[in-house]
Amino acid sequence: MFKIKMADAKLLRDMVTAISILVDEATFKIDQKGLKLRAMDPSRVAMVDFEWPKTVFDEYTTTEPTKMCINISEMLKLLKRAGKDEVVELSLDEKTGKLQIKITGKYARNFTMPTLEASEEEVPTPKITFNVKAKATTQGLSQAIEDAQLVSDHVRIEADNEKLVLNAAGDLMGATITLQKGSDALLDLEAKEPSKATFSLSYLSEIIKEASATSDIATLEFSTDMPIKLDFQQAKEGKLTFYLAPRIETE
Amino acid sequence: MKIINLPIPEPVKEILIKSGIVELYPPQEEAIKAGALEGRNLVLASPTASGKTLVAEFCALKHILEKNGKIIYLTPLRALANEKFDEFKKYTSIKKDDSRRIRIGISTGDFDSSDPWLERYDIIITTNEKADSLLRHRAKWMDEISLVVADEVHLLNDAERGPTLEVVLARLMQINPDIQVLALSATINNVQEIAEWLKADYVTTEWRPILLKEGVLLHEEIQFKDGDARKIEKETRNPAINLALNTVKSGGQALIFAATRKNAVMLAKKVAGEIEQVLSKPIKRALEHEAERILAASERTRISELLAELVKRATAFHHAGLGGSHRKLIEDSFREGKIKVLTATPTLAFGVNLPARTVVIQDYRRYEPGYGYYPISVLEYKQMAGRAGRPKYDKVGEAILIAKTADESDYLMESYILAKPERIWSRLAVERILRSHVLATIAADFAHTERGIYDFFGRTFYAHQCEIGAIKGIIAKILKYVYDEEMIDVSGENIYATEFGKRVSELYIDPVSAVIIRNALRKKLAYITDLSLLHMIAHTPDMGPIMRPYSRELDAIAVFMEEHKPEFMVDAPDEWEDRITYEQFLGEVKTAMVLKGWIEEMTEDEIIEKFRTQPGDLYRTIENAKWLLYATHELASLFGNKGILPKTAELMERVEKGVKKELLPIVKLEGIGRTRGRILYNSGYKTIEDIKLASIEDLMNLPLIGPKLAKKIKEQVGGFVKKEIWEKLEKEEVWKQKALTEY
Repeated sequence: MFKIKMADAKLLRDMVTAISILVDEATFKIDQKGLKLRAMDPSRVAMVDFEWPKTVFDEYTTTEPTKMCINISEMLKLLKRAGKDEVVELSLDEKTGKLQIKITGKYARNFTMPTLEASEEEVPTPKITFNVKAKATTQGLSQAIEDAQLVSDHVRIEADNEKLVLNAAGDLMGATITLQKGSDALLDLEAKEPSKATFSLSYLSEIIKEASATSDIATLEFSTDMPIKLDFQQAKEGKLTFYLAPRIETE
Repeated sequence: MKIINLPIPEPVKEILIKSGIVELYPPQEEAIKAGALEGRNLVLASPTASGKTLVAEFCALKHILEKNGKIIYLTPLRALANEKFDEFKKYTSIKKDDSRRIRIGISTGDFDSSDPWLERYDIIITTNEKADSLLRHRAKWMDEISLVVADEVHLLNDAERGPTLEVVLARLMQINPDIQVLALSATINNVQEIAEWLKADYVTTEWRPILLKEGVLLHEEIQFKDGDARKIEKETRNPAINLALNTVKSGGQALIFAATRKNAVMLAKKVAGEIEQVLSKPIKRALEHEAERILAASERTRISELLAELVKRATAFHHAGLGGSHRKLIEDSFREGKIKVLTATPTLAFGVNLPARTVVIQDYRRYEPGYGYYPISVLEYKQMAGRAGRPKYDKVGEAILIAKTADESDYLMESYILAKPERIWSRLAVERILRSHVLATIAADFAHTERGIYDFFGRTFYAHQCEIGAIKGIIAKILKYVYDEEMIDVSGENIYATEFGKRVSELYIDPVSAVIIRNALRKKLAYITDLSLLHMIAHTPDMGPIMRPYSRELDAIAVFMEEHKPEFMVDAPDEWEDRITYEQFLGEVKTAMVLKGWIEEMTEDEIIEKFRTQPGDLYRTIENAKWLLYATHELASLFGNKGILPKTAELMERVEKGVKKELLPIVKLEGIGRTRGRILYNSGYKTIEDIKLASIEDLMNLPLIGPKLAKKIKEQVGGFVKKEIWEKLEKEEVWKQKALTEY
């Protein structure tokens, strides 16, 4: 049993939107400390690691650790009904196994939706040593990705201690986007060794676009031909991190 | 019972514990208590997914590491052999006493070989048929086998595959009286009887890793065996689809068994029409990719296009009309949870393990061409129902039958859900089936007297269940037949196989097929065409699947037959004397026409359109044709019929590749099949020499031949390529998306 309340429905909606990029059925773990989710997308190319401690909520009560699996796109449809400054409350009805979503503001709405059987699969964190760590504004990052998307469906990210370079090469067109260390977009950059890796833009652009709604600053970590870790700093406590596997040149 | 405490070699424990297996399941515990690890013969009857294979793994590794033994693992299907091979591979890191690593081998192909290379392997995984053919070749290493594992032993009941299995087991026990036998079976009624036959103890359990709820759906309510009932939402007018949609909405997968291929396809189409709205963006993204793989896996046909279209909507069908590569792709993406609803014919229940949360048995009847509809057996029902519930994903699995009326609902509850599976019966006592086993018994030196033959068949499951006396008559009749046809010779008490008989046994064909081939080869036809040979092999009982002409094509086939009459090596029966034999004959002509279309480069899609033959059937026909042409070739050389050898050799190759004669030289290249071969040929590259002289740019510019393939061709044929171009090609980027799970 649990019951949680948030005064700002938008915050919850944005977070669920960000998760919905990768996951169609999400298993949330709810315990004394807070709300957690770790899941991989069906193609196993990317994963999301999300955590909100109970302090993020305006009200948080839970009796025992619970696992709750829900269809995320269905949930999102309901959450989208909440306007700005409306209050949203989630609770699990133990008897029916249904999730209640209560939205109050201009008027009161009480939705129920079914929960699904929780998957027992544990998602491990990829074990990677990162050689590059870059801190950027999500706005700057979004624009750079949009630039790259004009010419290709994948992008090579390269960094040394001076700059972070996005290189996109399409069949006919190409683009090079350079973010200098200390510029408005790139707040910090450390590279133990120069590194580069290539990623699918369809994943990268959606992740950055949706996660930007929850965060202003993102930390990128990567190494040559290894998965990238994108950590979106949250306004309140909590974490929203994505991992994305690279595209590798073969033969 | 914990793995750590078992009396099995330490490295095996380490591997298992590392992979997360710590504790034994109850059926495994019972098998150990019954003495499986002490070398006792055992029949373990227990539901699907209850961990029977692990018991086999324990025994196998104990034999290798402690007794220097050798294991043969028998499965009924090639796909299952591959599955087991993958499971055993994890042990190849273990070193034996002689400091060599454990080696796992798999052999499922070529029936005319003793595969001496298998001697080096510790575990040999194979199909029952391949094991039978190896025994006919008296592969030497088979004498060293110390453990035989027979998987899915309840298939003794199968009219086609059962007899082979019992003969193989009887032969292995004959050559090696100390062999340990471990038989794995679904839950059946007369386990004890099988155990007595194998001189084994038996363990039988109903234990499953996941709770199974069986029920009947009537209108919108499911009535469960345990008294529970549940309403489902009525979204369409088809109850099977409603059940499937309900499951998908609650996050599960559904498997629907339909009576016929046509029904399976129709259901899949309907489901796809309804499911779209419940699919999320991430899953659709994954499915796009799966659909592309389906299209890339074979020649494009209306069937592959339909399948790809369905897969985009998380739905697919699975039946024997699909080619192997498509079936494999569908199975994999169902296992990965991408495909949500799979419709299938009942054959899937006896094949690879594909569990789903909900199993819907849409029709409790089954359709067999030539017989019509008949109700499935309880054993078959239990096999289907047993697929319900996915370990690690589902808490409960549901198996649902569908009733239209209250009476039917009661009937289904009584006759299937509450019923006990039937007894298993030996299917050996059929002349057609016994024929080749009787010949093989003599030809492969298992017996040399009539008495010895009866002794051997006295060890079969049939003799254990019935009385050897009951088949003595059939055996005597067969002996007379093979004697009259000069496959055996008699001197006093002793019976020997002639060269002809020996070769027939090794070639793994029915003696009747051999007689048809021999008689045809003796005939002096004015001229022998492709059609002559293709029709002759289509006339043998070993050719399958049987093609039945549709009524609208009967006339066209009859006309074709009249036109080509002088080419046939077998006389056509009279239309008015025996209608059934006549239509059967037309079916054989149709098979020959399909094969002729194939080697004259009709596309797969044209064959489907013209003959209404599905790819899976086409591939099986091709497989069988290759094998029978090979047998023809071998018998012709045995009889010194040299004139025909170039013809049979060429035809064999053309059937394998599906090309006209002129393409044979270039389809030998790796990466060049019938489609690309034709493109090369029509562009003027008619020989290897032409291709050698061609510039690589010209090759690259041909349709369907990209830079990568052009490079591969040049690597095979040689010739001059400009250095810059070659270097550029070397650098040609081929990108592969990695999965996160790889890190």
